[in-house]
Amino acid sequence: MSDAAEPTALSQSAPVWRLILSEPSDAAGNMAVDEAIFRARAEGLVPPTLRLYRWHPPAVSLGRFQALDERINLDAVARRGYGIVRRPTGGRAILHSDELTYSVVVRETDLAGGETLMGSYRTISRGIEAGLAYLGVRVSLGAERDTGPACEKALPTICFAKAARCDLVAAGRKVVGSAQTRSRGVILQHGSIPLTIDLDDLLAVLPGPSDQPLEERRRKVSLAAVGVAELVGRPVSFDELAGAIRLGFARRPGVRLCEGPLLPQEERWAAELVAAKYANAEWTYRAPPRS
Amino acid sequence: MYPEELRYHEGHAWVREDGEELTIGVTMYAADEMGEIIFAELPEEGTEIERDEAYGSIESAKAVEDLIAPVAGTVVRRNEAVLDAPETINEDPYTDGWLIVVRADEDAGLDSLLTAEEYRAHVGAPEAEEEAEEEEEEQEEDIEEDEDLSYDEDE
Repeated sequence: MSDAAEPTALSQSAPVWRLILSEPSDAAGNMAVDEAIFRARAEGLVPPTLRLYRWHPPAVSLGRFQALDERINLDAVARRGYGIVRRPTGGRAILHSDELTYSVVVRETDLAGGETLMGSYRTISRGIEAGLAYLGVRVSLGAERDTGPACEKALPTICFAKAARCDLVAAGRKVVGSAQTRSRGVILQHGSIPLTIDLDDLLAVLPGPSDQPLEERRRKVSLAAVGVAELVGRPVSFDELAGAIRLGFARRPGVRLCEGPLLPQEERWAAELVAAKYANAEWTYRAPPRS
Repeated sequence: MYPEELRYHEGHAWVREDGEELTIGVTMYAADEMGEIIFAELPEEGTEIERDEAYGSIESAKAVEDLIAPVAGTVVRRNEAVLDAPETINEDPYTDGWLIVVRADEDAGLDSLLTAEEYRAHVGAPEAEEEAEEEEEEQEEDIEEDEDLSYDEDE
């Protein structure tokens, strides 16, 4: 079995990764820290890093090239005091509310199969998958064309309305939505793992196409996505899920996680990136390239 | 898969020399890796690009990937048709799917580009399509393997 062949966290030869457990941050801060770590890994300043974080206040994140149109209700975002940010990664809009967000920053050579896109998704997903298994939740990588009712292209603006082959699903419902960016052999993959999904809140902020009745959109999203608490059958806290994900990464990619802080250099880069990019309207509200 | 008349860069770019102008695109390997490309962001005319630095990016359903410049130069034109129909990069990466044309700097770095054979060795796959198929199979096997795993002993 491949499981036996992989190093485990108990093995002395297991690679050491840094674990960052971030305090809740606003949207721009969260994206800036992910990119600062990406830059630091590219410069060889830090080891491979797993970061677990959450958002305060809740926020909508947009895909790198996603258009801001009527399917994202900016008034509802503002009324709720939620943040909005454009990610460095692709994909669709996500409402980050009651969730755990992870980011993994590695060189391609840090990961088994890291030189290919699906290989890297698969290896990172194994850690998440093994973590969720500690909570009794079984998930697997989704398929673009076969995820049951979840995969209707019904609400194309919302990430959690559609599972891709890079997402983790349970019985066809998306549990973890992930996105990746790569540059010069360095990978940033981050993803959202909702603890609970508030459909009213989600559809107020990300209403999707207006030509469909609200009830229909509610039905589609509830068929397409599910929070961890519903799958476990009881409330699950951020800390409990974070603990499970830590155990998962120790088991499946087989890494030793050593908790550590951001480097001062990463802090500086993050502050610069907040000002110049992630809190900057020019980046957030920029027009997408043509398509 | 990798036309002999082109030169290649480790960042999965190809270069076609045409007098002083160099046409640049991404290789079939990169296009297949990315899956269907849905957005392309390309520099405007007059932009100076640096060898080994990002000059644009492409997005597929899987990832956003920087486009790494294989040479240094100044953008003379970009492929507007690809901006409107990025999937052309998947369909025809070496002709209709070209990305930019640059006028090379004196020290553009042309000499250090790879031949088709060297690039083929670099990506380690004679046929990217075959690799993609193998990958799909591996993925299915992985999922099946995981079905057999029990985590109970760790709890």
